[in-house]
Amino acid sequence: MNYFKSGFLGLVLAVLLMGSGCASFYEIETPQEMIEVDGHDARTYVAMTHDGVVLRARVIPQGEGRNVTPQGNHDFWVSAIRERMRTTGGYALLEEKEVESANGWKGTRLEFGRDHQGAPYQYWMTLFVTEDNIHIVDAGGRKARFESAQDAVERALASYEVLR
Amino acid sequence: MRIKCGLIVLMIATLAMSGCDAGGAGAPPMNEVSRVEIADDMAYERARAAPAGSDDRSEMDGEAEQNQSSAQRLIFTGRVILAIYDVESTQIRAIELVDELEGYVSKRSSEQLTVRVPAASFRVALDGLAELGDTLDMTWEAQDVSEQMRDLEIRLKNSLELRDRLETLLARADTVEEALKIETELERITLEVERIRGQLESFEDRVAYSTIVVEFRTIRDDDVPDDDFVLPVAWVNDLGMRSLLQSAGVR
Repeated sequence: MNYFKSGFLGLVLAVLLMGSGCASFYEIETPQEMIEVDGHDARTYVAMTHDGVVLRARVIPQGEGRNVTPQGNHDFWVSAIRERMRTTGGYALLEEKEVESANGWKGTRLEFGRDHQGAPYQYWMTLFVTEDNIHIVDAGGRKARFESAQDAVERALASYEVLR
Repeated sequence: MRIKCGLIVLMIATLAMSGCDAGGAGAPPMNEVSRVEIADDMAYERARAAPAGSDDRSEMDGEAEQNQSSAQRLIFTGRVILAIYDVESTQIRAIELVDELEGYVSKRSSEQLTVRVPAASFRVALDGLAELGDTLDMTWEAQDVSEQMRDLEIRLKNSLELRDRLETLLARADTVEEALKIETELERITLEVERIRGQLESFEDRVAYSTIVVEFRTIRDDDVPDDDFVLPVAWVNDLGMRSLLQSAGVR
């Protein structure tokens, strides 16, 4: 009887959590070279190294309705962001790669560079697009520091799972 | 005596009219000039105009001269806009490329690099420079200056011939008054010769060495056409380093 009762309560709790939107849209493993600095909520994640290289994940809803980004497919958002960053954003596109999330979702990584006050910065942006969400995982910092943290960034990106 | 003096003045005026202008665009028609012994200056000008590798430039015959002057002479200029990233090392690689092509840097700042390369290497240089970074824009043009240079060469030739004749006249002048008038005209024609030479040298330099300006900058608002789009999606405009660093409280 007790087993039945506790199982039922667990099921109710799970349904409530999903219904309230608390279930995460992604999973990511924070590399040991970084700390989480902004909590780990359903749609956002921020971590950084001791010397200011930042890693961030954001999940932006897309679809119909007010205050929702209009729906676009993967190619649309990659093209839109690439051009936005290169032109008015002032970023140099250094490389573009096809990538895969830890759970097999196809995505694209855009590797940018930009000088700011004479210092070169590197900025990577990885996109995964599902029917309902746009996953943007970006990372960046001063060039030399970013290069030092690159392994950690790549490990974090390799651990990223697109859940919804 | 007065008749002789008047005759000399008339000769100077006639010579001046015949020698100062060529038949180019905007110039009065060139009068026929009498054949005179070619002065050293003229030989120098011919040698300069002779094709590279000519064994005996002074023996360039009339036909060759005509071919040379009718050859197409082009000034190549190019412009490459690279996105701003690691400008210092990009400039160093650009300078190395230009050195390899036997060109040189004529101007350098943190935002711009102006290089000059032999015309034969223009396209190689332009493509090589464009590959150094993310090229936002690249333009080039070839300006045909054959006609302008031909006009200048004719004007120079006529001016040099006129100068020779004036020198001959000066040697024969009987009075101080005659000599002064001829010297005044000689001075004017010498200045004209130097001016034309300067223009020709400038053209020759720009034909021989192409100019490429490499700019390091973002696309400015006034570069974006008025009818360009803006996506009505706020977060797209909020992407980038600033937003990323602010999210971690770095700035």
